[in-house]
Amino acid sequence: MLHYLYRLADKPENADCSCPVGMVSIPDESYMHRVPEGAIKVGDSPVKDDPKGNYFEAWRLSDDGSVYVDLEQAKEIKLKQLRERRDALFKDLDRQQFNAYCSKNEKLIEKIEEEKELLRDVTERIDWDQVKTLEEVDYVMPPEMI
Amino acid sequence: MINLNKYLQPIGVEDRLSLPEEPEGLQSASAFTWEVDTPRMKSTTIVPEKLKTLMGGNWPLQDNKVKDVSEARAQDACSEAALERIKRKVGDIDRANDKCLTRLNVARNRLVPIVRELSLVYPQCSLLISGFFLYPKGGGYMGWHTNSGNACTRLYITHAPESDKSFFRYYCGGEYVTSWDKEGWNLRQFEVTKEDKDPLWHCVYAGVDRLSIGFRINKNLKPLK
Repeated sequence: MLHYLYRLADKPENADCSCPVGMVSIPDESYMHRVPEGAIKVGDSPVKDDPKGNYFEAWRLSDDGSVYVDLEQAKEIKLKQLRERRDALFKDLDRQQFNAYCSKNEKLIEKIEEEKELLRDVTERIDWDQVKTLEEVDYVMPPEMI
Repeated sequence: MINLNKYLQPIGVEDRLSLPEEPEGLQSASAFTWEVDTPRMKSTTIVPEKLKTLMGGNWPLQDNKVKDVSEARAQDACSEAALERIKRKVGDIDRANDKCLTRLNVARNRLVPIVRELSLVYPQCSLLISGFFLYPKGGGYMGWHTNSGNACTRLYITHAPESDKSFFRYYCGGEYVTSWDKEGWNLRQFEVTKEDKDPLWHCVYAGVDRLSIGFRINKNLKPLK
């Protein structure tokens, strides 16, 4: 397969190249008509730090044709993932709390409430100033979220 | 479900109770007492009782295939000569491909209390499990590597049924150091650095069944209010 990256929007004048990218993959050059004009050919894994494309929405194309990751955008993606995980945890705790109400287990109801309280502000606990590389973004996981 | 960590299981699937029972009457530790304490490496056999309790019991294997265990191969892979060969021919090895071990499954209801217990010792840190292995007796091993792709602090909690039959060996400051496991639980904490910053080469050998759970520790949280 041949892979091509292209900017999804025209780069605004004087902007820092912060446009998201799109990717198109074709089996061979006979499909070139599907590749947008100006797209740049890249390898199987264009971003060394993000080989699986977990932060694809944070990929950016620089003028020299290299691909890099917008770290601030990657942090946003991570935050979204953590919020989704927190929502799943809340859902599970709600279910457990309902069961605890049904069985009138006051001790467990209280314990679950404490757990929910811990989760509520958990994303505020992240010290993003300490996160300076994509690898460090990957390793953000407050213990309450495990 | 987002796969934040390959060892985590989907919430609410494998355990009906995501709030596990905590062992009662055991004090939590807010720090470890290190018997060996150097800038790159710390180790101790003084493991808090609560942590030992949480780590105890049965752990399911990910696969039950019998490993092709060889004492000679394990000893060779963890030898000083092997590292000299690797450095000469290969250079850096981030992750060891040369190994003989079995992965273990970590159910969420068992992992959560362990991580929370550790978070009292590392209060402003994210703690992610980096591997949970059983090194089989008679030649379990993980060959020399640096983990230089993941610079962070690493903590390993290991268990050996006998003293001086399994080890963690590392190369630091031009010297080889063999840190033998003692019977029961052992803790080791070390700093992993990038390839260009004097990486810590290390390997593991097991003459007896050796349980090992590793965590990546990254300081990236604010204190709890």
